[in-house]
Amino acid sequence: MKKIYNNGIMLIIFMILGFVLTIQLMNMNEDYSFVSLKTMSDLQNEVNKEKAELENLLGLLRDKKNRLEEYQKASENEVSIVEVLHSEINKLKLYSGFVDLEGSGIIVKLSDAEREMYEWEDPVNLIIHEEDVVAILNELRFAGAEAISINGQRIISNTKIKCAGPTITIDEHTYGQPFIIKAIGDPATLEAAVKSPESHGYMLSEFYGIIVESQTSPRVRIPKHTGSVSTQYIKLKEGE
Amino acid sequence: MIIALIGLVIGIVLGLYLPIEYPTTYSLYISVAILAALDSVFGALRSNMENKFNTEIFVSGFFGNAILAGILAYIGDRIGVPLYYAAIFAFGNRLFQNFAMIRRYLIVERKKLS
Repeated sequence: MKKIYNNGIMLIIFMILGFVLTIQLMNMNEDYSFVSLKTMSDLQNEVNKEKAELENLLGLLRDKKNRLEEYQKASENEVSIVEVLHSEINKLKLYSGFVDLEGSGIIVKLSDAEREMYEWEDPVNLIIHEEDVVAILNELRFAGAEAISINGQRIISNTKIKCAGPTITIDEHTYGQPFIIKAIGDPATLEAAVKSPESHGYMLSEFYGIIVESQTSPRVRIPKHTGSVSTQYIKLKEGE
Repeated sequence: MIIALIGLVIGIVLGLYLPIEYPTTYSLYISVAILAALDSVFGALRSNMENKFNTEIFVSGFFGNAILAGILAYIGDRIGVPLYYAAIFAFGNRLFQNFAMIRRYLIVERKKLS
């Protein structure tokens, strides 16, 4: 009885051994190297990122296809092509800053510091420089600002901001402090871009004492660009 | 002995025909576990030749070592220390030792017969 029992156990154990051995061999035919869990999760992240990008590109493709279809539909009945082009023009105007805009956003007011100077401190520390304005502008754009104006001057793609002594020249107009920056976008994100501890605005107010006031609003009005835009060197590329 | 061989053959055939796949992630752990199991088998062979074979010890060693080795490799992987080296080293070492003993017994036995 004991012998049969022992034999049975031996049979089962060697069955298991052979089974596992074979399965391992069968699963090992692809070239295999030891990969740690960390590498694996890193690769997983990378794959996910690539996938997201692919998704993005596919979305872009869909978009373009839709556009093409729209044009084709319009070209079939000639009347509406004008309409399509009109709506396109309006859209482009919206993007490029040649219409007045309104939307939820933020109003940031920058004024020079009013604190006492430290001994031997350079008064330059207390005033706002054009680079501060540019940095905040950039951070607002990072936060998804769709339209920005400074002291009522719309910022467009080739707006230039220049230092002019204690004032700042934006395109052809010169402004003194305070600078009021208006931006349309997600108010919470925009406010975070001005107030978060990593932001330039926070640094200005914490370390230099410059007064940075921000206020979100469901209705921020941003005027259109008023100056002229002249071009001299750019030409349309043929065949585009 | 014959029963063991029969079991091995049945296991191999089963492994060949059952379509079981596991993620390559676990490949390492299973390799180490197999090594531990092989060590147990050689140990059993040796104790059999010394007439000290005990089924309970064999069974507990077979499963215990395999599971411990697998878990050790996994834990090592988790905490960033390649602990599976310990298992490979220990069981590899013992495997060769067992094999050496088996060899000795076989040769001595053959000399006795002749």
